[in-house]
Amino acid sequence: MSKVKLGFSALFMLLLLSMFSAVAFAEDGVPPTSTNPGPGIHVGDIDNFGKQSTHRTHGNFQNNTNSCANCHSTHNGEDEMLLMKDGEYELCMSCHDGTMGFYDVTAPSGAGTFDDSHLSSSMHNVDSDLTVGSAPGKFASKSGDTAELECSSCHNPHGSANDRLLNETVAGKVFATSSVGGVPTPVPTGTKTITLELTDDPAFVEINALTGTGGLKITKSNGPKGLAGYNTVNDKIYYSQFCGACHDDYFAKRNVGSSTNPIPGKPSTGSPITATHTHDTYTHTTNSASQGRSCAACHYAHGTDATTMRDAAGRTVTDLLQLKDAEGNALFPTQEKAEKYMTDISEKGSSLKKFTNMAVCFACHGPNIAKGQIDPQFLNGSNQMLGRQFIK
Amino acid sequence: MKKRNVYLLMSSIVALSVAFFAAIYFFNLESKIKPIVAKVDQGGTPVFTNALYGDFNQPLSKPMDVTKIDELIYVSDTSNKQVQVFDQSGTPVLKFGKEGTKEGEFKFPYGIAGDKEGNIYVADLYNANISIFDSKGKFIKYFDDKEKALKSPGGLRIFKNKLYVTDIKANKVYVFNLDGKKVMEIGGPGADEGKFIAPNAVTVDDDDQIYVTDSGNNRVEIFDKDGKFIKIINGSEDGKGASTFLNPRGVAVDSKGNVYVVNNLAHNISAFDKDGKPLFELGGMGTENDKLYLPNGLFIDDRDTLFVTDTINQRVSVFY
Ligand code: HEC
Ligand code: HEC
Ligand code: HEC
Ligand code: HEC
Ligand code: HEC
Ligand code: HEC
Repeated sequence: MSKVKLGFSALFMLLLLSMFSAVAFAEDGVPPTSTNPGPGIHVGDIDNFGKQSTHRTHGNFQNNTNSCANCHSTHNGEDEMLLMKDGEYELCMSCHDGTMGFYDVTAPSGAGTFDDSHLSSSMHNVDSDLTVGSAPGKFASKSGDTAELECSSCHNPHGSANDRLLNETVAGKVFATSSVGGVPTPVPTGTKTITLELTDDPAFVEINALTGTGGLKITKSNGPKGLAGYNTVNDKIYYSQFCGACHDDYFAKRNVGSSTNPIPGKPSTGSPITATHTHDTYTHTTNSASQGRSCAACHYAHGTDATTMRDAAGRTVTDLLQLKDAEGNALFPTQEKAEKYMTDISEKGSSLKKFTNMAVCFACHGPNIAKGQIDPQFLNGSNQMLGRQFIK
Repeated sequence: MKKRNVYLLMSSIVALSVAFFAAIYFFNLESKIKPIVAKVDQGGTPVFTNALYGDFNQPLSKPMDVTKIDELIYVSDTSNKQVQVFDQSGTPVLKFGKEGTKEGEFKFPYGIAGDKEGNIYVADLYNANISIFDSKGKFIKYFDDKEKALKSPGGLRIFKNKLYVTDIKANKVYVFNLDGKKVMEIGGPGADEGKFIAPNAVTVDDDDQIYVTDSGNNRVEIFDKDGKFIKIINGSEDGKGASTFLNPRGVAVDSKGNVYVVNNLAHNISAFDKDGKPLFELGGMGTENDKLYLPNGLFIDDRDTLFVTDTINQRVSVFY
C-alpha cells in the first residue's frame, strides 16, 4: 500500500485523537473551587484604585464593604480597572430594569423612559454604539466626541455634586459655565449646578420612612428647580448647558445661530434654512430661565413615547383613559385609542419631547393664535391652556 | 505484524471512533455522557457541562429565569418577551409569547415554574400578573390571584402544589394555593431581619424552609415553613458580618441541602452548606464556557444539575 494512504489514515487518527483530547481538556476546565475562589471577584477594596472611599453614591449599595465591587472586579494581572468594558448598559440595567423596584428607567419618570415598545418612542440610544459626536446640533470637535454614548456619558455612577449623579464633565469638558468678568468661565469642580425639583416618591413611602437602610430615599423629579444656583445662574440654564455640551448649537439665543458654526441654512449666514438646525427655525432662546426656554421645558433626558407625552391641555394617556362623556361612557375606551391620539406624527419622530407634536407651542401660543376657538374646558381662569402649567 | 493487519486495525479503530462520536452527535447524548464522566469525580463541585443557546434566528436576549418541567427546560427570554423551550441537549423545541399586555403576551417575563400537570407559570414583572400555559405553550388563563395582591411579581417557584412568588415593589413573598388562595405573606420593606428590599428569587428545600434572595440588602434570608425568620446567608461567617454578595439573584437548594446563590454583579454562583458555610464558587466573569456574565436565574433539578441564565452571554449554562 502506498505511503500516501498510510499518511492519510495517520492524519485521521491524529484528528480523532485531538478531538478526544479536546473533550478531555474541556473536562479539565473546572471552575474555581473553595481553595481557588472565583478569580477576579471580591475586590471590594478601594485601594485597588488608590482612593479612599467617601462615596455614598448608590446609597446603601455603596455602604457595604464591596461597594466598588458592585460594579468592578479585577482579574489577576489583567486590566485592573473595570471589567464591565462592553457591558455598561447591561450593568446599569441589571438594577435599573425594574428588578430593584425603584428607578426603573424603562418606566415613565421625570427623565422620561427608555422603553421602546409604545407608539412614538425616541430616546438617547445608549445601547447602540453611537458616538457622542453624532448628537444633532453638535459642531465643535471635543475630546469626548468619539466616546460611545452610554449611561456614563451623562451620569457618574461614583457620585456627583449634581442631583441624579449627573456628570460635571460632559463630552470631555466641564459643561457648566458662569460669567466671571463677562467671560463664560467653567465652574470649579465639585460645584453643584444641576438642582432638580426632587420630592419623596409616594410609590415608595414605606421605604422612605425606613431607617437603617443607609439613608435610601426614592425621589421623583420634576425637572430643574428654577432657582438661582452657583454664581446666580439659574439651574434651568445649567440644565440647558448640560444638554448643550453635546448639542452645542441648540443652546443659543434665538436666531443667532452660532457664529462659530455658520453652516448654510443658519439664520446667521443669511441663507435660506435647509439644514437640520431645527431650533433656529421657529423656537426660542434656550439659554434663558424663563418658562419654556430650558431644554427641560420641551424634552425629556432619556426618551419619550406616547405614554409619557402630554397634549396641549396637559393630558396624558392615563388621564385620557379616565375621561367620560355626559352619559358616562369612556371617551377613550382603550389604551390603543388613547395612544393613537397621543401619536407624534413629526417627520423627525418624537425627539424626546414632553408634549406630542407641537403641542408645547400651542400650550403657550394657542389662546393667542386661535382666539376664541378653544373650548373653555381646556383653559384656566387667566385664559391659558391647561397644559401650560406643566412647562418648565 | 503484517502491514495489512496494521491497516485493518487502524481502520477499525477509525471506524469505531467515528461511530462513537456519530452516535453521541446524532442521538444528542452529549449531555448524558458528560454527567457520567463528571459523576466519577466525586469532589462535589459541579462542573460546566454544556450551554443552551436560543434559536439561531432569535438568540436568547437577557434570559432572566429558567426551570425544568419533566425533561424540558423553560427559559424566560425576557428581552424577546417570550419563553424558549429546550430539550436536554440544548435543541430549541418550542417558543411562545410575544410583546404585549394581553393574554399570552409579556412585557417582562421573569420567574418561571411548572406544576405537576406540566403547566407553565410565568410571572410578568411589568404586567403584574402570572400567566399559565399548557405544555404546548398555549395560554390557558391568568393565575387567579384572588386578592389582587400581585404588584410586581419577580421570582416564582411551585413546590408541593403551593406557589411561591416574590413581589419586588411590595418587598414581600406571597405563598398561594394553586387555586389562587393566598395562604401566607412574608416580609415587607426594610433592612431588618425578615424584611426585604427588592426580593428577586425564592425557593423551598426538602424541609419546607423558604429561601428568599433579598437583592437590595445583598443577602438570602431563610424562613421556616410558617414564615418565621430563621437566619441570613450573606457570605460572611455567620451571616451577621458584612455581605460578600453583589446583587444576589437566583437561589436554589440541591438534594444535599447545599444552597446556591447567583451573584449577579460578581458573575458567579456561591455555594453554601446547610449551615451557611461557604463551599465553593462557580463561574466568574467571562465569555468562556464555564464563565458567567451578569447571571441571574437559577434552577436545580432532582439530579442536582444546575441551570443558570447568563444574560450577557445569552445562554443558559448547565453545571453538573
Ligand atoms: C447594584 C444595583 C445597581 C447598579 C448596577 C446600578 N445602580 Fe443606579 N441605583 C441603584 C440604587 C439601589 C439606587 C437608589 C439608591 C441611591 O440613590 O444610591 C440607584 C440610583 C441611581 C440614580 C439616581 C440617584 C439619585 O441620587 O437620585 C442614578 C442616576 C443611577 N442609579 C444611575 C446608574 C447608572 C448610570 C448605573 C450604571 C453605571 C447604575 N446606576 C447601576 C442600584 C444600582
Ligand atoms: C454603579 C456601578 C459602579 C460602582 C458601584 C463603582 N463604579 Fe467605578 N465605574 C463604573 C463605570 C460604569 C465606569 C466607567 C465609566 C466612567 O468612566 O465613568 C467606572 C469607572 C471607574 C474608574 C475609571 C474611570 C474614572 O472615573 O476615573 C475608576 C478609577 C473607578 N471606576 C473606581 C471605582 C471605585 C473606587 C469604586 C468604589 C468606591 C467604584 N468605582 C464603584 C461603575 C461603578
Ligand atoms: C443624555 C444624558 C443621559 C443619559 C445617556 C442617561 N441619563 Fe439618566 N438622567 C439624565 C438626566 C438629565 C436625568 C434627570 C432628569 C430630570 O429629572 O429632569 C436622569 C435621570 C436618571 C435617573 C432617575 C430617574 C427618575 O426616576 O427620576 C436614573 C435612575 C437614571 N437617569 C439612570 C440612567 C441609566 C441607567 C442610563 C443608561 C441606561 C441613563 N440614565 C442614561 C441624563 C441621562
Ligand atoms: C453626552 C452627550 C449628550 C448629552 C449630554 C445630551 N445628548 Fe442628546 N443626543 C446625543 C446623541 C449622541 C444623540 C444622537 C443619538 C441618538 O439619537 O441616540 C442625541 C440625540 C438627541 C435628540 C434627538 C433624538 C432623536 O430621536 O432624533 C434629542 C431631542 C436630544 N438628544 C435631546 C437632549 C436633551 C434634552 C439633553 C439634555 C437633557 C441631551 N440631549 C443631552 C448626545 C447627548
Ligand atoms: C420650546 C420647546 C423646546 C425647547 C426649549 C427645546 N427644544 Fe429641542 N425640540 C423641540 C421640538 C418641538 C423639536 C422637534 C422638531 C421637529 O420635529 O422638527 C425639537 C428637536 C430637538 C432635537 C432633535 C433635532 C433633530 O435634528 O433631530 C434636539 C437634539 C433638540 N431638540 C435638543 C434641544 C436642546 C439641547 C435644547 C436646550 C438647549 C432644546 N432642544 C430646547 C422643542 C424644544
Ligand atoms: C412658555 C410659553 C411658550 C412656549 C412653550 C413657546 N412659546 Fe413661542 N413665544 C412665547 C412668548 C411669550 C413669545 C413672545 C415673546 C418672545 O418673543 O419671546 C413667543 C414668541 C414666538 C414667536 C414669535 C417670535 C418673534 O420673532 O417675534 C414664534 C414664531 C414662536 N414663539 C414660536 C414658538 C414655537 C414654534 C414653539 C414650540 C416649539 C413655541 N413658540 C413655544 C411663549 C412660548
